[in-house]
Amino acid sequence: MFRVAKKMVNCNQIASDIVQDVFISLYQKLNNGDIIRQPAAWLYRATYNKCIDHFRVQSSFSDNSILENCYANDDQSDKSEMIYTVNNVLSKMNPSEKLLTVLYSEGLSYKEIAEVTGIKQTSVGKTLARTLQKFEQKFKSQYYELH
Amino acid sequence: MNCINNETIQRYIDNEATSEEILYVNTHVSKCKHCAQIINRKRNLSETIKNSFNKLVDEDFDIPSFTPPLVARKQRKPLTRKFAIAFAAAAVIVFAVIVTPTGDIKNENTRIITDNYYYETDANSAAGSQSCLSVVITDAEGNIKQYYIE
Repeated sequence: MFRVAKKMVNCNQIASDIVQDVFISLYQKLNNGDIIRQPAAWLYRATYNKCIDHFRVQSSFSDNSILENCYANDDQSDKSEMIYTVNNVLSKMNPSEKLLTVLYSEGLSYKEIAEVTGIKQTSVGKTLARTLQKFEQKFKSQYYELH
Repeated sequence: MNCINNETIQRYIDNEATSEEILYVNTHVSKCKHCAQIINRKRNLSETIKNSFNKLVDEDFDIPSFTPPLVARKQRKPLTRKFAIAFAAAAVIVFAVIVTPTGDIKNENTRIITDNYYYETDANSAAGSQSCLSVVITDAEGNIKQYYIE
């Protein structure tokens, strides 16, 4: 969950907060007596939703100096330009494509990806192929711009 | 023989293809260099994406311990608000009491007689020597009752 959140928001502190929020939601849900049928998928989905919430809050901030500091620190710790480019491309992808790519990089099976994203299992391959192709194009254009 | 589409290649790379698809791809790749190149390129791309994505996450990160949220206490109403509510309730009750018709108890045995009677008293005379007003009532059956009003 932390890995997914970190890849989505690219900040350790925010990712930690998101994971905490997800666990609080889970705690409250279980306390209310709700049943979660697919816990792993639910946790990933909740993490994704919290990331979306974070993006909304981020976009509504007029002064997001705190967030900029957070990203600036992370950027300084980046060692290679490739990671910087990957981050850059990821930040320009839409959230659902980003989630699909992140889950794929985490090594989830198509069945698990389908459970989390809500895409049909038979369509995961097609959607994934299209998304990865898009990622590759953007990555190449940005990476060659740097060199 | 038709070349393999992107979807099937992706599934083949990710080991999600069916046994028939795997057989088809293997047979096709042995004859088609173009598709073999595409598969190699896509496999490399997948590996690159996975590796570069995983580099985004630091290996040694601290997972903060989870503390269950405290049960939120019910907020008490401020004293002024309490008084305002009590006053409003009291006002409603008083208004209801005033407005509600009391309904005169009609008792057939009760008769109200009003009359004015003036008489002069001597203020200098002793208290015990002052005269009393005598009222004599005779009902329908001929009973006589006499009352004295000081």
